[in-house]
Amino acid sequence: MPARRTTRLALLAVALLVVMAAGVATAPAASKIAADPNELYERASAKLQKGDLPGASTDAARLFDLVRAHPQWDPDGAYAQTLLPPLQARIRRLKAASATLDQWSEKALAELKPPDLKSRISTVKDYTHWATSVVERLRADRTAVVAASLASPEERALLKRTPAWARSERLFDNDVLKGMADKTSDDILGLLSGDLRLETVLTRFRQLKRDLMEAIAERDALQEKLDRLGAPREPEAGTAWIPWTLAALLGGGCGVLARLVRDRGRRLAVMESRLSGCGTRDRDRSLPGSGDEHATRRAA
Amino acid sequence: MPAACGTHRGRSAARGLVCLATAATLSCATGGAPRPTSTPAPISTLTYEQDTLRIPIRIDPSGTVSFAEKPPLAGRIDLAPIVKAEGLAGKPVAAQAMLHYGRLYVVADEFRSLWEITPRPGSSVAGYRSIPVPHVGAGRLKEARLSRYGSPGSSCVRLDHAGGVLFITPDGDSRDACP
Repeated sequence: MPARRTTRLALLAVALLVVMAAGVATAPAASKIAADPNELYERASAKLQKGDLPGASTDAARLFDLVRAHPQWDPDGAYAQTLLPPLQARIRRLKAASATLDQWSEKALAELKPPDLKSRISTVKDYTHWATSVVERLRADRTAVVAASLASPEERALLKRTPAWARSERLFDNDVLKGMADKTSDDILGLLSGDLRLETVLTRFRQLKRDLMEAIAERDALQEKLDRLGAPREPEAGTAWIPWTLAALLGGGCGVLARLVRDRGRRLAVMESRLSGCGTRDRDRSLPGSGDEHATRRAA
Repeated sequence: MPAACGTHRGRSAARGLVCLATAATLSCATGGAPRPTSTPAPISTLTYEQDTLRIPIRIDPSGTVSFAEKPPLAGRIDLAPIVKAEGLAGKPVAAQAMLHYGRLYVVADEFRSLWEITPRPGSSVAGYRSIPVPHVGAGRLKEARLSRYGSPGSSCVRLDHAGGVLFITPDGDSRDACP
């Protein structure tokens, strides 16, 4: 009897210990202290310093709500009357300046009209000068927009940490050049002949173009053989790459052309293998150009 | 007039003169009318609430805190006796301080108590005392945070921590609510 009682007490003690241990383990998570005005103010200020205007605005609004709903947290009105109004005013000014900067960026990008390179610019050097002058003009324009929005140098420094400023920087770094490249891709190849330093590029381009013409002729010849043998026409090996070629010739640039010539051997090898399947032995017609022989052997 | 004056008729005249002279001298020295010595002269006062927001401080291993890290505050405070009493001597401690009605309150995670430091005007020393904090889990404070709380003119220092809340009144009393 006493042994049974001792066992029961021991079990109770173990259960009690388990419950206490669980309580200790979960206590920190349950006792998370809500942010006080000081914490919210510091958080808003820190986010403002990092250029996180929405975050700063949210924390400032939470602080405003807290001290309005529970004035005990702000006994002398230090936050409501002294600290919060200038912080919120600064956030408002920066948000307005940020929005103005975004509008300016969009407008500048929309109004970017690259000149007609054929009529007004004769060399790539002129093209570069044009891009440089545009970026310089836009930078000066942006400085004026920021100065009109923010009088304080400190607030201008804060604006430089915002996403709106980063977007305007991207306008200079990428968008201006990309816009001009999109518009002038056709014309720029013609301008290459005007710059001696780019003569090697032009030579390579002409070579690639000649290789491409040869490949087209060979393909046509093989296609004729296929037609004579009655094999079905395969778009992927025959006609599908013609638009690519045209695109390359019209504006895709040397990189696209080089890739096309490299792929040419592979495509022709596929066609040859089909011909060999029909009893034709044309495999010894290895094509000129890099990788053709290897591609032919692999396909065979 | 004192009772000792006027006991014998022969010498009474001379004694009376001496007593009168003494009384006249004392009367001149104290400015005429006798004043009660137990009531001090009234001191002019004005409103003076000296508080700060929460100040994060770093107690270096020697126990010293430099207020110059937080301009426009300046000066230093030697918290070595406090960190020694807390068993944290010789290691850096991230703490927080708050000036409230002229007294400085200091607390940190891993402290057992809140500390009150009362400056002595006109000197470079201050008195200090510990204020026990109830419901401190495992004997050490966790998530300790000082705030001001209450009504204008009579606010409290509010200590939030993982185990609960403690208020210190303007008189330095600890309560579980701010009166």
